[in-house]
Amino acid sequence: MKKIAIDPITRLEGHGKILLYLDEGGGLKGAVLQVPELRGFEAFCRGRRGEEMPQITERICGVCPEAHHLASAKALDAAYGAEVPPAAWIQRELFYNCYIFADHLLHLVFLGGPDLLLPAEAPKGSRNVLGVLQAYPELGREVVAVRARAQRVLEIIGGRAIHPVFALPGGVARAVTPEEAEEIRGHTAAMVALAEKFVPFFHEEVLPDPGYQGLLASPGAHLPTHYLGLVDETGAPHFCRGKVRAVSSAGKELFLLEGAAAMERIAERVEPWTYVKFPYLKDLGWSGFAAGPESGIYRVGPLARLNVAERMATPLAQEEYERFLDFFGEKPVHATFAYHWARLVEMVQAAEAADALAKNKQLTGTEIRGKLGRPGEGVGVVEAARGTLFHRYALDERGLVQDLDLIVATTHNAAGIGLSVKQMAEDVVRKGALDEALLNRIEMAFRAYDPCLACATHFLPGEMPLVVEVYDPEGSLVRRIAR
Amino acid sequence: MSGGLRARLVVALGNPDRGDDGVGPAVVRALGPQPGVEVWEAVRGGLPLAEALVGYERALVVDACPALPVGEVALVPLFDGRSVPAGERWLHGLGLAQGLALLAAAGRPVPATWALAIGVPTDLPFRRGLSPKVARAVPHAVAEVKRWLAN
Repeated sequence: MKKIAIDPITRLEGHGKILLYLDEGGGLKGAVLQVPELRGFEAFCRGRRGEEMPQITERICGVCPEAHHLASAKALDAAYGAEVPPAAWIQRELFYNCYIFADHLLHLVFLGGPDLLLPAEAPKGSRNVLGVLQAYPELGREVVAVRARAQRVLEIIGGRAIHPVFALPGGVARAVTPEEAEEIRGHTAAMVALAEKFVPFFHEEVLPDPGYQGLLASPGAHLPTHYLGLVDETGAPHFCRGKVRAVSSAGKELFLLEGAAAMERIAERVEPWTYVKFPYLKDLGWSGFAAGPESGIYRVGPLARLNVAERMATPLAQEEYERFLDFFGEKPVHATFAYHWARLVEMVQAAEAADALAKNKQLTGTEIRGKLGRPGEGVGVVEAARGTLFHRYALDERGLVQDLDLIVATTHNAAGIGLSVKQMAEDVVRKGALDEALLNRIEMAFRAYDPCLACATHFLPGEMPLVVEVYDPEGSLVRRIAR
Repeated sequence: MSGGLRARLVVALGNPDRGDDGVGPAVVRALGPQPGVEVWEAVRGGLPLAEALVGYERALVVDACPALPVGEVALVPLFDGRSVPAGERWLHGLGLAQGLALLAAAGRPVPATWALAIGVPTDLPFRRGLSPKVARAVPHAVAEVKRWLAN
């Protein structure tokens, strides 16, 4: 009898696919990530009312609808020339910091947790989130409880438990009541308390581990790309406001621009073997799948944001950032597995920033919607947990979408992920292991970026819907590996 | 954050902008309001959905499923509130059942959860509206939801 596995919302429309190309000697010539594209999305959106876009775009991603929702609202702010009132910005920023906190916590403890928190020799059957919970029961229960608190703030401000509906062009839908503000302050205080506890835990339980130390120091995971991310006026990372800053692999500023101007500095490389376009810095040009000063390839996400920043925005995060830089002794930090540590630094900033915003008297302000001008073109940029997210809309005089363009985090990182996979897989392939060991090595590199394929598929974060295909020098498929 | 358990929740998963993927929302809209039952529409799965189910006694997730023949309807238990779903694929993954298991293990009051799966094609393009074959399955699915609510 045929067995059918039913797992809601893991419907398979296509896999994230890694293509490995072998050379004549059986070594690894190249590796690329193939991400399924959003076929027909632009055509579907043309002619829709601009105001619908925050709801339409958040439904394309089951992993970070918060990021699409706010990037979309920001693009509409710009398209309508709207001035967003301070009280509305406080709501948006508070909401967004809670999203970053909850997402990073999920990755650090439960998705990346089996790599970071469990010994490599742990039995395969316990290398999962329950294994993490059994190994660290008190911390695990607290993480679950505090994540629920962050989710509750998202529900209060976002208007719904799992899909926000609050951000509108020019502001937000409703004011936060004093009672809600009081409840929120209790939740954000708990977030800070957990962040304070998690930092020493990381330094005692994770960082000293020889396995993690080896990954951080590994030349095979050192990738000197350029970096891109949002910073505020003081040069600290900001998750949903500020300017886009790009720095070179040597740490030199390449540009510091508003979203629309920054988007003009990014070009997209089209390859014949994939629908995915590979973004690169236009001024440096495309010189193939290679890192280094001559290449236009850049990376986004937690590590990139720390590399483009001059400082962190909050005190505890600043302390951890300094420990992070001291450890590596260089900036930019090019160690791919530093993405995990960078996620911790950002989680701390998100908790502290959310708490400060929750205490801001303007949180309950009632002037929450700015006046809209005539519709035109606008770009909205936010930092999704996984990296920079651009939305660009061109509206006609009736406010209908005429043209749009989205660049999502995993697309920015697609070339970098391919290069990291190649680095991690090289040794294994040379030894002729085209099996589970290869898949494990590739997954480790893949997972450091916390890539999200859900904008194109319905895969869940961390589910590793990964297929690896190995091709010989003639281009023939010699092996296909999948979980 | 609330006090006592709320009784029943029906969650329609799926994106109405992607053709037959919207069959879950179509089913709950055809079902209409039911006394004592909360009904949601969502696109999100995994731990965030599991966290949102905390505090309910029983939950039913109505979802499109390419693993079933197109138009076929199947009601299956997803999580009984106790046992841990097995499977290598959740080495680093958190599907809805695994998310519920994690929360239960952490002492959160998660509901016994069922899935009502409705067969859809694997290709789900961006457009609104169901295909005729999937649309014909909606009344059967509504009847199954009512049967679940009655039990």
